[in-house]
Parts: sequence; C-alpha cells; structure tokens
Amino acid sequence: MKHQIRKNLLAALLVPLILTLSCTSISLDSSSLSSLVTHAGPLLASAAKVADAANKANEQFTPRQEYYIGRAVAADITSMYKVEPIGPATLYLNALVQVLAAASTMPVTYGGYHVLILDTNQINALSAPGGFIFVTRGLLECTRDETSLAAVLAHEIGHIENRHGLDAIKQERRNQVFVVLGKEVVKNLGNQQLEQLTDTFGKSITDVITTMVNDGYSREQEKQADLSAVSILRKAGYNPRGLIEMLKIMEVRLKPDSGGFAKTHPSPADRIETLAPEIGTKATYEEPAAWTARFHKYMDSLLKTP
Amino acid sequence: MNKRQLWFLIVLLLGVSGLVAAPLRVQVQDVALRAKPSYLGTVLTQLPYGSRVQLVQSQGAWTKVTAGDISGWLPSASVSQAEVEMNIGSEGATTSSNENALAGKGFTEQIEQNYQKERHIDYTWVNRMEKIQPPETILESFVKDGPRGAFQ
Repeated sequence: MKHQIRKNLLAALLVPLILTLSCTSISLDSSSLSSLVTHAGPLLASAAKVADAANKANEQFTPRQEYYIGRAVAADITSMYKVEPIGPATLYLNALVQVLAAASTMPVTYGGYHVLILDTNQINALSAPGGFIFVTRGLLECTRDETSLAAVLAHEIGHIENRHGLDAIKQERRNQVFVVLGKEVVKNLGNQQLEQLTDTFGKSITDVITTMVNDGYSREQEKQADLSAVSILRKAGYNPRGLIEMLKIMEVRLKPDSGGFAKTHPSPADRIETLAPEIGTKATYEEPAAWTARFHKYMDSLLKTP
Repeated sequence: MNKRQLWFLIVLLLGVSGLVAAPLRVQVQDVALRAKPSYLGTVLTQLPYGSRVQLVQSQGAWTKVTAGDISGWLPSASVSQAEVEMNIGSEGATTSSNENALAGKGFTEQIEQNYQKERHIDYTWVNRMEKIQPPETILESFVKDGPRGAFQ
C-alpha cells in the first residue's frame, strides 16, 4: 500500500512536469533529462526518448547551419534564372509569406522567410532550406486570387518546414564533416580543414540543387508538402481549396515537355486525387472581396491580367 | 516514505525547477521581443542571435521571457535551451561539449566566405532578398482585412 502511495505521489509530481515540458517547443538538454530519468522510472524515460530523438535530429543542422546551406542554394538558383526586379508583387508576396509562415510548424527560421519572383514563363517554384522561396512568373499566372496564390507559397513553406532540402544531402557528406573535425575542441580551422569542409559544403549544395532542380522531390515528399499546405492555409484563415484551384489551372497550362514542375512534380491531376480525402476535388470557394482586390492591386502589373 | 526517498524527491524537484528555469538562447539572427504573444504585438526590443533570456512561461507557439529588465513574448521556435554555436574562434564562443558538437558540423560563415571566394559564387540577389521589408501599408491591410488566422 505504502509502495503504491509513493508511486502515485511520484506520478503526481512527474506528470505535470512532463506535460509542462512537452507543451513547449523549446529544445531540452537531453543529457540533463537522461540523468533525471535514470532515477525516475519509465514515465520520464519515454519523454526523454522523444526529447533525445528530437535533439539528435536537430543537431544534424542547427537553424544557423540550415541558413548558410539555404543561402548557397539560393545563390545557385539566382544564377540559373533571371530575377524579376523587386516591385509591388514581390513586396506583396513577402508580406503574404509572413502571414502563412506564422501558421506553419516552422514559424521562424534563422534568417526569416523571403520570396523572389523568377522572370520566366516556365511553371515552377523552388524553396531553399531556411526560408528562401522562388516562384516563377509562369506559376504565378496559374493563380486567380489571394487564396490560390497563398496555396503556392504554402506548398513551398511545406517543403521548408519538413526540411526536404536538407534530406537531399547525402549521409556521406555529414559523415565527412565529422571525419574532418572529429570530436576535438576546434577553435580555429586549419587550412586543410577549411578546404575539406568547403569541399563538403559545396558537394552538399550540389546534392540539394540536383534533387530540387533536376530530379525533384519524391512523390511522398510532394504529398507531405501539399498536406502541410492544407494545414497552413487552414490555420492562416484561407480556404485550402485554393490549392485545388491553382492545380486545375496548372493542369491546363502545363505541357509535359515544359520542364519545371512537369519534370519534378507529380501531375496536377495526381496531386488533386491525393488531396481528395482531405479537401475534396472541387475548387469552389469564395474569398472576401478585400483579398481579391489586394491581389489585383499588387499582382496585376506583373501578370498583366485584365 | 523513508528519509532516503524524501531526499531523492527533494533533489529531483530542485533539479526539475532548475531545468525549467534554465536560461534560453536566441537561435535566430534576430528576433522581436513583443508585448503580447502575437506577430502584431508591439516590439519592445530586438534580440540578436545568442542573446540570453530567462523563461517565464510557455504558451504554445509563444514563450514569455525576460531579457535584462524587459519582459515580453518571443516565438517559441526562436529560442533554444541548448547552447547555440558561435563562430569558431570568435570571442563569444564557449567550449561546451554541446557547442563543439555543433561547431564541428562546420557549415558556418567562415565556410561560406571561403566557398564564395573559391567558386566565385554571386550572392548579390540573396543579400538583396534578405533585406526585403514589406511596406507597412501592405501589412496593415492584412491586419485590417484579414485573414484572421495564426498571424493575428
């Protein structure tokens, strides 16, 4: 009986603690938790395992490292395409992306979310780790209102929050970095280390670009980004059917040999079918007149639509 | 409950309180400390990367902290209880094992500078992109007309 009372007391003390910790997105010091758990029993052990796994995954690339990878990928993208000069449409997209990012599971990144428009008729969008988003004029022409435009950005935020870009970096690169530096205290990089790390960095960027531009993400990753987009749109206050609207227009405009989305994404019809259990297949929705007016105010000069 | 078990509980609770009250570090380039848990809350001050703040309370996506004598709210994802890595060799760098593990990953400003120099990579548009600030008029229209989701 006494034993039972003690167990209950311990549980009464520990359960609120676990709840408190699990309700914050602050990463915990896994070693502190582990040492606590050694004495505290199975209840905390499972909480610590979750914290441990999250920490290990996060330690692979911190937000700051993700930012430097993203900057290099973004630099490559801007060297491949002509960039639209920063005007009303770009400024509007940069405001809209803040509204949407706030509704994502990654509301802040080290350097924040930023959008540029690529001046090409090709239908495509690319997102580099850490929040760098690129949308082509061709893809923007597949949007009719703010809701469908939000769907385009929400899909790209979906790739970023799921860290699909980083997934493309081969394990051997990650191992290579560790081989170069080992576990020693490193205060200053020697020339050889600097060269080796720069080489690994360059190869990592190539991994990301190759996947993003040439091979495309996997079908599963595209589905994940679409489902993230649905969640982001809902939480932000947009009708997720804007995604269906955009995909239906894209389906009409996309030519199989046109590169871009056609090469690296499942067909719009397949994507609509995948989304059907979540939001149906109809593109019917209404958005407030003020949103449509805002869309036209900032986008018309770029899209030249009547 | 015997004496030994009582001491264990006391030590455990002290440890736990220390864990929860541990200082946090800003893990993004800079973040606005706001008067309320909303992206539209008044900005009290900007906190740069590595700033140390004290946890007051957590409320889902937002965390209340004190920074010096200012109390306010930060997006929870902008702070970490882990040490953040500083530039290798920088004065602010500590030598904690956690930081070494992070610094050991090596993808830092120093690597970027060497990469830019060796490969002649042009970062002009990336730097320009990062400086884009949507005008107040556009942001105000989102506040006025919505959508009224997570941002508000």
